[in-house]
Amino acid sequence: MKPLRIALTKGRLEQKTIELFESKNIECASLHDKGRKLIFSIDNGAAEVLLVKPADVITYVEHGICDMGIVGKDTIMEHGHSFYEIADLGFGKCRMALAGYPQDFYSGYKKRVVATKFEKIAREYFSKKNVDIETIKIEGSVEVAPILGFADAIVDIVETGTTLKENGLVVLEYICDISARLIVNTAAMKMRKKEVSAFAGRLGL
Amino acid sequence: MKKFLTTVKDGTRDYMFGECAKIREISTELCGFVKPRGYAEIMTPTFEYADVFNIKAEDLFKFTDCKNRLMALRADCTTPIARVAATKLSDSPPPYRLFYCQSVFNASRKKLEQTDFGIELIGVDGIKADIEVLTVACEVLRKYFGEGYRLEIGHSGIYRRLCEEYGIDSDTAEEIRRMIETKNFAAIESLDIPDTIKALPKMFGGNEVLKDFRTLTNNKNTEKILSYLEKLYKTLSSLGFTVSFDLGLVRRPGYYTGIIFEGYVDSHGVSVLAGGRYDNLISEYGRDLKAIGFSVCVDEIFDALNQDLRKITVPDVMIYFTEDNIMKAYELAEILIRSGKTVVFSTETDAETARNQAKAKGIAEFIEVEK
Repeated sequence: MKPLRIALTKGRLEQKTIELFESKNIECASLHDKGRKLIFSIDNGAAEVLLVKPADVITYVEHGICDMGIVGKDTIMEHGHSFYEIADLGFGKCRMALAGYPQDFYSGYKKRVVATKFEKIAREYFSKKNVDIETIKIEGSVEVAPILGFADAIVDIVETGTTLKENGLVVLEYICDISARLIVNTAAMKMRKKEVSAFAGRLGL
Repeated sequence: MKKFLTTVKDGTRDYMFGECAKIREISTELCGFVKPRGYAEIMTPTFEYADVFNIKAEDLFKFTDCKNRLMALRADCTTPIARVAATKLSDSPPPYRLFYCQSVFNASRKKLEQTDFGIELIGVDGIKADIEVLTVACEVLRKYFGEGYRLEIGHSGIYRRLCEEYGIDSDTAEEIRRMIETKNFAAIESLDIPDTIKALPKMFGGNEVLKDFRTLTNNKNTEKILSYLEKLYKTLSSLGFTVSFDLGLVRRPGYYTGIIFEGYVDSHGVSVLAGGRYDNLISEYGRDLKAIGFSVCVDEIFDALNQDLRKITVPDVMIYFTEDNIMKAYELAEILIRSGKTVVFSTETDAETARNQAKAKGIAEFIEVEK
């Protein structure tokens, strides 16, 4: 039987995922000593893990290269297309928020400019509110955009809010809650139902 | 310096050498499979008035004709065939068994251009018609993937009836539909909706899901649908086909009215076949005809077969000739071609270079035409 192949998000969610796996007695020794390897065998050979960037988790799962993946809801909302999102894993919790200087974002008729790494999320959020915005894609340190007068506000992930505070910005509105999700390729869910549900079952889902 | 662009658009591709042959072979085999089962071929225009298509405007490739009327590339085959059935077939009585094998251009798909093969059984409903189409679908998958296929059946009426029963308005229904479609268990659990709806996305697998779901509902209409699916299961199993169910199959094209189904094959991440019953679509083109059909993506079957066919084909024979014996060379080529060989002429001007070229290309036989 082919091992289940799982795409994991490198970085922020990686450690928590390994902790979750190990707490459920899924052997992950190879993930502690990674070296330069790209594919890791875990669970005594019953599963294979790929450590990749968040958006790539979705790519690998959508194309069926990986049967399942673990990725943040923010990435799903920004890049997601067609797969099953079968569980909220409950870790990697934070919130997607609209932040800026403490003033009414919606007042006046001027077209509002929003700086963000999450252009799709921002556009969909404001389109639901029937508000026109212009988005500017910024990859990191988005907070700087309103400070320099480049944007009226930002849409970004807020964990503790410290960065915002230190730069005189506040959360204006929460857009949604974010956490790590377990996603499954649509064909794998059907063709390998037993293995996929057994694995989810071991994670306590 | 390059004068022209040298890339193709994402979602389109070049097929080369053996790949072309394979794509044509699959298409020909599929057509040859349904013809003796009484299906007749229809080819519809590559582009039509955009208003023919029952498809979101953003998914159509559009342009205008010389009178500025909005046109669209063929984005799906079922809607143009519904148009044909409603307008061109009225002098013969239904049922009509039709098939197509042509390219479609649809921006909602990963493959922006793909070849779709499909059948439509029009003007009839009932279990015999459904079984006929489901059987052909299974046979098609089995033909290429042996027993490594699964045909998964759902019913568009289940979710619709539940929404009616619980008085869920259409906006909310669409929101929940999307969660069911993506099997977003977490999001559905958090909603304040009846358990029957919450259970839908989990209701997939063998025929046990029909029994499981029956314990959750006492809606008479749903009951009827479940019995119908049970009947399909028994018949198809007795014919030796592998079918399963997903009661949470809530696909969008809004025109489906009865059973809907998807075909999956081993080690391929996307479904290769999709179909369903659409009893109201053709009446929107002016004639009340019930129908069921499916389409299978030829390129997806090709990808799933995963064969390396990009090798250029090597001819069997190379013929070298000097200009004054061209007649002889052409006659010889004709004889060889008739005997089933592939033949090329050398375009070189001396025999030695030609001979070396033949060797380099791996051509087995080199003939120098004598005077």
